[in-house]
Amino acid sequence: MTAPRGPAPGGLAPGDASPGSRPAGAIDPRGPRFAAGMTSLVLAAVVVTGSWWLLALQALLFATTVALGPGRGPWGLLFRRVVRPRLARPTWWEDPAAPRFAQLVGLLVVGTGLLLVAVGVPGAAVGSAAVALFAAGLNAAFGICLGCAAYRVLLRLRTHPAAA
Amino acid sequence: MDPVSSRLLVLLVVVLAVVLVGGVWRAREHRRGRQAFAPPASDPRRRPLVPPTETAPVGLDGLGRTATLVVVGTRSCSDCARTLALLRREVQDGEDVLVHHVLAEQAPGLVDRFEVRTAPTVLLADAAGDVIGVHPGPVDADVARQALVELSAGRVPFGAPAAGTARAAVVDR
Repeated sequence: MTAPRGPAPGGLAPGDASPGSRPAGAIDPRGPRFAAGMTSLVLAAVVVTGSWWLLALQALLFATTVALGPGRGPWGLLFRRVVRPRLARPTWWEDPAAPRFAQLVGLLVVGTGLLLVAVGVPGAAVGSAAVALFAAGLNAAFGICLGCAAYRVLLRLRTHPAAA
Repeated sequence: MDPVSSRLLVLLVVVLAVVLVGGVWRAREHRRGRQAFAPPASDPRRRPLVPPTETAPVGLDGLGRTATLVVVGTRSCSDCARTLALLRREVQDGEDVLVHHVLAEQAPGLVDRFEVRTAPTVLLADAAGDVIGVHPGPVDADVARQALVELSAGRVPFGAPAAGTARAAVVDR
């Protein structure tokens, strides 16, 4: 087949994300943003209270979402069952791989904080929660997912090592 | 300062940092989106979307009667999906203007020819399938519409590119 000519038959590329077509496994992009908002609330509570067990709860939420995927994590389920039915159909769909990686990054950040708390480092819970809150807040308020950006950079480096 | 006050101060600093970084980031993206299409990188001559010797990438299913916009993206790129949805909603016009989505990993020839370094990169092709404009990053719908107006008025390719200018624009993003 050479250069395409004539009208398109309307086929969709893998990973395509147009209105009305939901690629297999794709998620509503508003779900991760909702999750980021809820995560921000928990992390803000950790920053204000300095509570290590709240931080541990957040680590558990991150771990569950990493294991089950953004669509099936606790906040993902809440979004699907309670929030999404009240919203219009999304205009595009998102691949869950990047948001899932972002949750893993969050888990690493708060996990490190918990480890430091365990060895008695003062302010570790607040410090790690503040770092995670910055990222979650950016996602919730502006739709900027730092973990997703890191995922894409890693993917590009893996595909084109010369780009490093 | 007591512990509660210091924690509240930390929270305030984080909130301010989010507002500042997010605001600057979004403003920068908005400016990028408003930039006009540049001529194809490194070679001012018209270039076919798919040369006769190549197979059309998956997703590039046809040409619009007057123009074709191709969003070159990656599977995990949410900006690509958002840009595609925006262009299909706001710019696609029956069979006159078609908007396609091509995955960069499935179109190495296209990526190489137009020096795609950013996901998404939007390519604008004329009725013959020759790329006349390249836009690294998400494009504003008004910018795309304006480019189509210029294409209809025969005001393309978009001026003679200064040597290396378009190339730098693609690589630097």
